[in-house]
Order: sequence, then C-alpha cells, then structure tokens
Amino acid sequence: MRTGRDLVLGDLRHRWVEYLLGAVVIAVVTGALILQRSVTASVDDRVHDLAHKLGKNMLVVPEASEPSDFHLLHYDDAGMPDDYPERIRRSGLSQNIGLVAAQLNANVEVNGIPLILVGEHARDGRPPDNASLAAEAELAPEAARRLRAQPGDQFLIRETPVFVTGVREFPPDGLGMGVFTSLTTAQLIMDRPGEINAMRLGGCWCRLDVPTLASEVERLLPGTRAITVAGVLKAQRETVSTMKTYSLTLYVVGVLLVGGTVVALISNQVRRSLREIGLLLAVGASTAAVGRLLIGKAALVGAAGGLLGYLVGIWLTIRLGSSLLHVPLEPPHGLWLPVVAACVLVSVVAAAVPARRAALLDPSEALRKD
Amino acid sequence: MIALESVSKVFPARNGRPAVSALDGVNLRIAAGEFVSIIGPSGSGKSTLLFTIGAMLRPTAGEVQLGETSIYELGARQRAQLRQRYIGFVFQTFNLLPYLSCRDNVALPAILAGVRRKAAQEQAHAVLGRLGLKDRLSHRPAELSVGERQRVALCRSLINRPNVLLADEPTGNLDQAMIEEVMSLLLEINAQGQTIVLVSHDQRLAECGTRVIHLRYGRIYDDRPALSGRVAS
Repeated sequence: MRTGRDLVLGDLRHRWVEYLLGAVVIAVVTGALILQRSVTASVDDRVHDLAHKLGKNMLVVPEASEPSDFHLLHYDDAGMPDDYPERIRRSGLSQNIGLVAAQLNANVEVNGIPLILVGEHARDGRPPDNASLAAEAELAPEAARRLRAQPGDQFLIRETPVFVTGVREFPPDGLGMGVFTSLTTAQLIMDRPGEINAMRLGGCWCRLDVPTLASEVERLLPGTRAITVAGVLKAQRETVSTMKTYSLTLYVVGVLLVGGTVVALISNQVRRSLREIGLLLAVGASTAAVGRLLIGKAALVGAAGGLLGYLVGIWLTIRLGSSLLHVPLEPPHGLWLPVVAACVLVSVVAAAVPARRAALLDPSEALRKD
Repeated sequence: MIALESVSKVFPARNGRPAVSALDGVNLRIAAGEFVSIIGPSGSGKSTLLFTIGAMLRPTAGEVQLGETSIYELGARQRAQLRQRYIGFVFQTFNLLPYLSCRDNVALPAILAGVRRKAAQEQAHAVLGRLGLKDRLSHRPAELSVGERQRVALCRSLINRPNVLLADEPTGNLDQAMIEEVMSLLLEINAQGQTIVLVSHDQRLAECGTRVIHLRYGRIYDDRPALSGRVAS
C-alpha cells in the first residue's frame, strides 16, 4: 500500500536525524564485524597458504624475526649470513636435504606503491656494474598493473635503477605485488651485502623425524629458527581457533548492539509519536498496520545501516588492513546482500516487540498525551 | 442509532494513583441526524464518553450499540473497519501528521478504508475545496494557520462520509472568528443529515445543537433540548 510507504518515508524524512544516528550505529557495528571477519579470514587463508607452500619443506628464518610477520609478508631487518646454504650443503645434513633456496625479501615502495622485493638465490641476475647499468627484475602481474610497467621499462627502487625483463604470469601465492630479482641485486638495493632472511629446505623426509632435523638445522646455523609445517599449523590453528571463538562472541555482541539500537530507536519513536499512532488507530488503521509501519521503518534503518556498514567495512579492511596490520587484506566483495539481509532481519526481529506494544496502545489514551 | 446501556468505565489504579470511575452507568440514545452537545466540568467523563461511543475505549461494563451492532463484541480489526466507515473524529489539537500534505492528511482515512490512492486524493481535493482550502492542497500542517489546520482536520473526518462525527473540543484552540466558522461548518454538516456529538466546555456553543447533555462525575446530570430550538434533521 502506497500510504504505508508514504507514512514510513514521511516519518523517516521528518525525524531523519534520529534515524540516521540509528543507521550510523548499525553501520559502525557492521563495519567492525566485517573488518574482524576479513582479518580472521585473511589469517586463516594465510595459514593454509603457508602450510600449502611449506608442504614437507622447512623454512629457515632469522631467530629475531617474528614468524607471524614473516608469514604476513612483513619483513624486518633481521638477517642471516648468505653462506648458510653452502654450510648446509657441506654438512652431513645434505644427505637428507636436497633443495636449499635462499632469499632476501624486503618491503619497498615505488611511487607510493608498496611492493615486495624478492631476491632469489636460484636466479642469476647481474648487479649493476655502474650507475648506467640497471639491475634486472620480473614483476608480478598486480605489481606491473599498479606500476603501469611493461617489459623494457625502467624504474627506481631505493634510488637503484631496475630494468623490467618481464611479467611473471604465475607468481607464488601472496606475492601479487612481488618484484623478483637476483639475490645479489636485492642485497645491493637493500644495502644488505652478504645477507639473506629466508631459506627453504626440501627433501624426502618420509623416514625422518622432521622436528629432530629442524633442531639439527638450528644447531648448524646459529641465530636461526627452522619452521616446519607441523609446527606452523599447530601454532596457527590455536590462533585461528581463538580468533574464531572471539568472532562468535563478537557476532553475538554485534547482533545485540544492532538489536538494542533498533529497540531503543523504535521505542523512542513510539514515545514521541503517540498522538500519531493514536490518530492512525482512530481513523481506522488496524493494529497490524500500525505494527507493520514501525517494522517497516526498522527494516529500512537496518538496510541503510547494513549497506553503510558494508561500505565502512570494505574501507576499514583496505585502509586498516594495509596501514595498521601491514597486510593487504582481501575485502569481502559480494557479501553486501547477506550483510544487508542480516541487518534487516535483526532490525525486524528487534522492532517486533516495541511495534507490537505500540499497536496495542489505547488510542484514546495516546490521543490525549501531551 | 447510537445506544449506550448502563455503560461504566473505571480506569484502574496505576503508579500509586487510585482507580478513577470516569463513567458510571450511563444510559443514552442518540438518534440519527441529532447534534448532541456534551458539556460538563473537567474530569466529568466527557472525552471518555466520546471515545467509548467512537469504538476506541472499551467500557468496563455495559453495552454500546451503533445501529444494530454491539461494537465491543467486535474484534479489533472489525472495530477499526467500523471506525473507518461510520465514525469521524475531530480533536482539539487537530492531530494532523506533520510530514504529510493537507491533501494526503485528508485522504488518509479513505485510503485506509480501501479507496485507491488517486481516487482518495480526488475526494480530498473536493472536500478541501468545499471548506475553502483548495489553495492549501500541498501545504504541510506547519504552514497553515490554526483555523486552517482545524478545517483540514474536519475535512479528514468527513472524507469517508461517516454517519457519526465525534468532535472533542474542536474549538478549544481557536479564536472567536474561527470558532464561529467551525461551528457553522458543523451545523452545515449536521443539516446534511450527519449525526454530531460535540464535547465542549462552552455552554454557548453547546446550545447551537439540538440537544445538550450535562455530565457530572461520570453520570448524566441533565439531558435536554438545546436552547437554539433546532431539531434533528
């Protein structure tokens, strides 16, 4: 009925400040929940990625590095000597370790765009012999897109000219913003000669006790931490489990906050518009129609709050994720419909009680209220 | 047409305040086309009687009939329909919805009664025109004078052509010129055959109708023809 629409929209316009405040509260709660969901999902994804990447391999990092930062592609200044791979090859452990790949990874910025510099031992890039000769690098597709760079282009990383030799079509997981170059070039760019900060070890360890092998690696290479998939998974599973427990609590708190806001908003509106409700009943509106009007308003506020909250959540995920957490978080695209539907549902359920109370008001009493 | 049989209304004790007996065994018959004025001091039960007749306030005891229908034996939905079709209300404070235009305020009861929006707006247009408000169709209540607001409220009460018009102190907020204007409108409406029950403090206005009922302590203290000498149309 268009009258219902007119009454709902008319009242929303008439008391827009209160309804807007209600929608903003819902939006803030929804946005915070979306951010929290993005963080949890991101950590969960990264644990899976890491486990997937490690497989039966072992990752050796400087002891001073925070492994979780390392997993989140946030690299610090901690390093290890770049002769450690050679030390493994010459030791007795080489019988069990067939693959030794050393890397120097670093976070760099080019024209304000954050990139991940990956210096790989396996590649044989040439360092610049002089200022006119550029180092060579391959770009991950996203990095090439953001830099608007093509093979043959040249740009500066920390004042070192880098020549783009190509775009690596399938970069390793999580390295969409990667700049892949030789270890020597990375050391030169980062001014960290003789340093690496990651070493991947692989081999057939079916008949070995992997934790024991990890201890032997740490003993052989002082100042390192050998991370195995089992250890990572155990630690991260506990973290994710804790986060998921908190998530559930946060969702419950969020639902209560949204519901409470709607109850307060509708109850306040009922108190302030007693005469209007009394009038509607007096001119023949049924109690159900009056209830529907109030629930309609709550649904609209919930929908507006949910939609706004979704946008706030996306913004927070992109902004806070990259600036506070130093992690490129994946915003929950395509989730707007469930978010709005959930907000509408919670709002409608929450508004049911005050709406029913209002509909059952004694119109004669309501009309005589001052 | 309207019959009240031993109607009593007691408002129960609430928040430490004692129970109030607003109506006490009222027996009353109002014929179709009468213009009945109900007068009495504050708290005598005038408005309670009006709302009870208007199917809005269930009495504690007794029966209220509109035609052949005992209105409080109906369910809430049927009582709402009865208010839509047979009863119009005018209030001292107008009770216009501030966010609707005059035309939409007036059309509201018709739309609630199932008339299509456009047709209801045309009816509203006609009623507003009859009461000299043709140039106020799209104005909001806040943009009108007090007298105009009461005329809009009167239009709203008339749009469904109710058999009975219940007016609770409709001139309470108006100046003398506006009082005369509203009273002449009510008399005109009554002359067309509609029953009017008017609650008023003003003895002089009460005498404009066909019958005056004096309430005291929830009882009918006096029930006599009005001094105007008018008879029911």
